[in-house]
Amino acid sequence: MFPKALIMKELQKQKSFLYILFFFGLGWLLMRTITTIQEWQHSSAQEGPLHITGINEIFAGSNYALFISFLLVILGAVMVGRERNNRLQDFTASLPFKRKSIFTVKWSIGALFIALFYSVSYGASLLIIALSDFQALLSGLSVYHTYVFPLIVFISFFTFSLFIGTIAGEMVSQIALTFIFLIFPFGFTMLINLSVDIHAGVHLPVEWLEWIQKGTLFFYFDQQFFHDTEPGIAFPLMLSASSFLLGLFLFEKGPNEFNGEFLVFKRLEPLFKAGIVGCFALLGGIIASTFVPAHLGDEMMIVFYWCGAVFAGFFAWLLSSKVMDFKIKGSMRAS
Amino acid sequence: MIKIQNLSKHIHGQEILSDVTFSIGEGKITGIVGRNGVGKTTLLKTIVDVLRPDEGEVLVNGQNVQKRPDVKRNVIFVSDMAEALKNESTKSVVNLYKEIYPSFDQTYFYELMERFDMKEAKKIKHYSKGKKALFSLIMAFATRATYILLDEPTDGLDVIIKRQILKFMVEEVAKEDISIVIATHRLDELETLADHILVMKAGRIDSEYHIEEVKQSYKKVQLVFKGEMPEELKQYVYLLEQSGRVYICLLESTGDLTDEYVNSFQPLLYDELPMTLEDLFLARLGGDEVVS
Repeated sequence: MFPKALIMKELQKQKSFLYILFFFGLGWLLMRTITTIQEWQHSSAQEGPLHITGINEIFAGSNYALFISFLLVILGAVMVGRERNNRLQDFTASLPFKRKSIFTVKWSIGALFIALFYSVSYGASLLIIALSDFQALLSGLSVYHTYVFPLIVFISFFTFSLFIGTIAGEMVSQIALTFIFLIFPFGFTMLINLSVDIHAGVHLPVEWLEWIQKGTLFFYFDQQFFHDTEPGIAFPLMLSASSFLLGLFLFEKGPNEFNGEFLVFKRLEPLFKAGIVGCFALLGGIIASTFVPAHLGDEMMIVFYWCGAVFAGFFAWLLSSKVMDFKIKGSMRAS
Repeated sequence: MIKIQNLSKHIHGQEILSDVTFSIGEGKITGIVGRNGVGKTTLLKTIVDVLRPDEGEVLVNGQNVQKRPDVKRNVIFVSDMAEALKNESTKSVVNLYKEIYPSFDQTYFYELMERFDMKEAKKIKHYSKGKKALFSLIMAFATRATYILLDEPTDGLDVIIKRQILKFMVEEVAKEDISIVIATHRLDELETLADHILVMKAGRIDSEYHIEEVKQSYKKVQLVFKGEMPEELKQYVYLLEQSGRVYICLLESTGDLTDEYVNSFQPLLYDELPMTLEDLFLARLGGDEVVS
């Protein structure tokens, strides 16, 4: 399942990006830790040491977690999508290994790298705090919220990106589709919710939206999104497991002749096209309805909604047709 | 033996391969010829399971390549390797191949590098187009695989290197009992090389030839008559070229078309010329439809 040759090949191809990600991520967290300590020193001088809190916030949430999550989506795209772009996928598929082994090695290298990179960054940051005047704050550290939770979420972002890579035909579509589907459950619900609100003046209860938010991986990079409710790691763990298993299946079945195109599974194209047109139409309708002054009434808002929806839907149809006809130079031709 | 059985493949709704069946035995050079876009590359990619057929299967020594990809340790497809590994050094590619192919012969690899005057590179992309093609071939032969599949192998090579490579292939097949499959649209390359030729047309194997048999069955001649070539003779010959009263044609060496029969028309000149594969295909298959 883990042929040494595949590990070597993968490391040879991905080492540059892995180095960048490692040192960039480590550097950012260390800088964040140092600047937080400086803020603590400032607050301590002004308000006294008893007012210092926020050790958990260094790790959980923040731009750091968002940016690392973004880079891990790119890592998944570098491992699968870029190989489809530059024909490395054809070379790899011609080697004497099972496609399942190829996918498993990719995931394992990515997941182990994330564990190593975050553990080193986390450990180094804790060391800096331990050596500072604020070592007492370590007693308030929640290892679950600052280490276990972000690590699992990071691995989930990466695994989800790899899974989308088994459907997408090249790197850019993989990244775009990963972000779309990362936010899709909540985003789509909101589009429907707002559209129904415009037409009928009813909307979903907040509790329902909170539940849907818990089923949307995008929000997990920052635990503060969940306010007082504990999000838990069950959803990211389940999503990781299902993304891995589905990815394994689709990577085995995926046709390489469509590498370099928007999707490798051509039968999904009508579904994706309908989805793009539908979502753009909903969004266009919602945006257009905001242009109506309140005194013109609900009827005018609905008229504007439908004008916006038709315009955006038509624009999305044109755009999606172009995108789905797109082909990277050098992709499979009949020869 | 590699058995290709009833392979069919559609891409973008277009039939690229249609019920392709043939075998590749050991110790032979097989040429797959056909015009650009006829399905040669798709066929080779399907043999090594880069592409999956809609129907049919590929068996290497009786094992299905999809179910048992490990059988590909003995089947090398030389195509995009130099492009795929362009940012690696010669040494790291060699190390990678040693892991992939347990039979990789490093000593032989360096012998070949020396023979073809190839220097090691820090990055494969620093080689010229021709050198990349040569490097891919050297890597393939150094794996000591039984079957080597080449897709337009001499593209980008200069004439001298091309000749050396073609000679080297013949030597390898004679020495090592390996099999080479060459997909090309250039008949001249297969001239001195191939034992067996498959002609592809519109995704099908249109015809199959064993070179020696074919060469013994035909001869190329130059004929000059006082006037036009007699109509009675015309129906027996494949006319390759006509310039005034000079006719260059292909005659079947067997059957009724004997020298006596031709001489009975009292040609002013009746000379045998060296025959090329191109002549054969032009005459038999209307060459332009076979090769570009």
